[in-house]
Amino acid sequence: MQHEQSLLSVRDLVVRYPARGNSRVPLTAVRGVSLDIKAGGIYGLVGESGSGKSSLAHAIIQLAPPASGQVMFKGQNLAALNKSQINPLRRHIQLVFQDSLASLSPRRSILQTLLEPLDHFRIGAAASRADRAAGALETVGLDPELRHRYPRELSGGQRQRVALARALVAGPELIIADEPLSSLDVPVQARMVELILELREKLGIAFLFVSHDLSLVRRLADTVGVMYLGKIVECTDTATLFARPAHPYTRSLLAAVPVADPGHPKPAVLEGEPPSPLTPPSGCVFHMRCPEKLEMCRSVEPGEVAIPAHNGSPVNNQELKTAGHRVRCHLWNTTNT
Amino acid sequence: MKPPVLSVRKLSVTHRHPDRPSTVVDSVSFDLNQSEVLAVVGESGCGKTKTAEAVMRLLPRDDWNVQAESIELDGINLAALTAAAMQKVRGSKISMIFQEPLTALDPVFTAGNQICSVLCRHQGMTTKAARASSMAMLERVGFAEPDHIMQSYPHQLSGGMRQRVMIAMAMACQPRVLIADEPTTALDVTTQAQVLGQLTRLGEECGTSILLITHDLGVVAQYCDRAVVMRDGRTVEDAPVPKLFSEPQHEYTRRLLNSTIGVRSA
Amino acid sequence: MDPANRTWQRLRKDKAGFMGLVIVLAFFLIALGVWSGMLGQGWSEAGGGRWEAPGKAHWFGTNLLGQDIFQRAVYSVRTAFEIGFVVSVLSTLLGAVLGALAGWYNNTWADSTILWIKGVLDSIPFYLFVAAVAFALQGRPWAMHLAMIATFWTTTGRLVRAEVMKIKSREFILSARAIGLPDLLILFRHVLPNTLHILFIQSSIAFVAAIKTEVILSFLGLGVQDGVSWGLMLAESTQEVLAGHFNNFLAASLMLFVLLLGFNLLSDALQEAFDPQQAAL
Repeated sequence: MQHEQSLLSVRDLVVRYPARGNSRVPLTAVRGVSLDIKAGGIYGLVGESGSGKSSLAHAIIQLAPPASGQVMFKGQNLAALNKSQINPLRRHIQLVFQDSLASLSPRRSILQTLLEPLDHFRIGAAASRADRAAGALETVGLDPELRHRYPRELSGGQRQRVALARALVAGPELIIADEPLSSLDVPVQARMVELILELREKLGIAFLFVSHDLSLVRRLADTVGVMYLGKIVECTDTATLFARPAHPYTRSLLAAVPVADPGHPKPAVLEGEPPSPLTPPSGCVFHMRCPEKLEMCRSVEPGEVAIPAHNGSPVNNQELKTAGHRVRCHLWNTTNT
Repeated sequence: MKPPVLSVRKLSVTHRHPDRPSTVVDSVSFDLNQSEVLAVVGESGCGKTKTAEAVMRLLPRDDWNVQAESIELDGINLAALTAAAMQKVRGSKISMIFQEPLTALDPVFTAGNQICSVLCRHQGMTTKAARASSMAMLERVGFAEPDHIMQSYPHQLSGGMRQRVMIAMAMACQPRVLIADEPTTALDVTTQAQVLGQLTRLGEECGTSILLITHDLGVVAQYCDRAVVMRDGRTVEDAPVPKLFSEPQHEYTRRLLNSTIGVRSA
Repeated sequence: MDPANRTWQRLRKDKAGFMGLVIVLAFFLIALGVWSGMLGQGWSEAGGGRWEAPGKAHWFGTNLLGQDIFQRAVYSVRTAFEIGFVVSVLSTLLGAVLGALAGWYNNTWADSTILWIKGVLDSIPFYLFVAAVAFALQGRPWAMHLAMIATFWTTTGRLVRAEVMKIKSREFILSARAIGLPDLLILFRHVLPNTLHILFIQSSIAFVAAIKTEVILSFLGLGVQDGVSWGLMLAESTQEVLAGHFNNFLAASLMLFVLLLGFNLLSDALQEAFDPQQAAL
């Protein structure tokens, strides 16, 4: 996973919202995050509420304000562009949201919704756009006849497919999906997972899949990043993350998921309340709830450390940002010194 | 063998739409035994929530037609009670908690206020006694600083905290039955583990039987004793949890089990 | 079924609302008749004797000057609709645009300025303000209409602003921004259409308010100058009633009452029918 081959390269991104209402403090939702997505790859970004994962997803295309850091895409730093510079690039990175009913304009038909990006980006001849829209519906497995209906008349699964179709119709290279399957039933989720994998196979589209649902991420993603309070605390390929999770938070997260097997021990409870991004703890962001914390975790923020592959040699600092398995934890730091 | 705490026989719920009446729950029967956690599982639209609302008699008469051979709570036929009598039963003998705690809690009253009002109404406590009881209840649902929570408004609390306040409210009078309608679906997985852990432990301590409505088979497997599978308004299978997972009888149950994606390797 | 069709279906089922619609339509047809020159043309002729009783020649009798009350009452329907339409449409439009801009550019100078103007206008006692503007613009043909539009828009503006602030953060707006659509386009294509329910109701309220305000203005001599309206008739009738002649008063007030009642029933029904929260079952 070299830098040059990445479709999208985020480096040290910080996202800050201005102080609002009663709080005098600005809200730092993302505190320096780096990640790489290669063409046709699926990156699963996992985190719970308050982790900043949605802010990160939005900030990549400037829907949220990036305070510092870089977002390299097609040789340009998206975070540094102004509105008119970034707009033409938007057709290459599209967004899909969680609540399909809220993300489709209620008073516009499906066809109108699909035509909007086509008209805006002036894709193809005007006369052909309606056909493209119908084609997009077919690609996501929907009957093109539905294009005259309104969002209210479709089921949740159908609406989410429409949202995907709208993302596809502009021919993007990357789709950022923010919890797109969370409000769907389990069997419908399974079908959508198949659809996403198919789209990656056939069209070579990369995905940034943001979710709190570990089982979906496991099925879909090549690489997984775990976020906690604005930082990525662990990042590695999917198989390694689920087989050998390194960070205590990742381990707690995995242990908390109920397993569909009555014989399995009950989910372990992670003590303490989830922290608020308005009042982040000192030192390591996770130390207050960490079952394995050390003395230094209270005061010193852990830097990123690369964990050697199972049988590989230790990684040097230069290759750190793109190393296979990275973790932000003193437990791994001490063993490395 | 003790008689069931809650016994539902042939419950049907129809929607009174002028043009298109529809049967949402069709002749559903099940038992909830003493100190048991019973799961009601199914996809959205299968009628599990309407079943619970029908048992609690929360469905407005104008829109819904509820018929049942019997709905017995400790021998009392809930369907035959007057509205006033049912109000006394709700909250004290049978309680319900919902999926979205922000809309289920009144935003203009503090958490403490809301728990106290339940105690004052159903157990006739004085304000002082109710406050003490509420604090104790908040401690039991795992709050380290109950007095801080007592004074907080719903919007000042996180989703998991609000849900635990709801549990405190629902369990304040130590009801015989607690119906929990997808209580953790909107919560993070670590919070879910915390809330479900609290809920089942509290149920055991107070001798409350729990009717847990969920679509998550993992939750069924790890927290429930028995499960009723529903589909399109009907019950499809009713079995103790170990048996349901090892030898599912109905094809639909098998399909549900198969489409569940695992997180940890077996 | 698209949103417009659904609204119509809901309206049909509401009996009171439907009756309101029928009343309003009936009056509208009368107004059309007057506009096209078929009805009420003899409103200014002093054809009859003073204070004649209702009879074959003059259905409602005559007033002080011998003018046919019925003709005058019918002509007034046109006046009422004219004022109602002009004021309601223009004040709602003004309120919608300013409210949308204020809501979208919330927390900026645009919002603060518009809010400040609204605040100032709202603190002036309403009838005083309308009268003052009408007086200042006296002699100009649209004085009365302008005065009303300048004051009526604030309520719509405030409601639209609040709604826009709510809609602004919904995901379909975020989707539009993610494509890179310009702000104003999003405002007019995606946001405002979702405030239509507010606009329709506000415009029907403004319609009623305009007619009522005209009555007061006419009392003050600041209302309709060329033509006749119920307000003018009522103003005239204050003298006549003292002399024991009620026809003028009754005709004007009854017709006014029925039209306003119809409108109120209709707008109550519209409120329910337009409510976007009610899902079609």
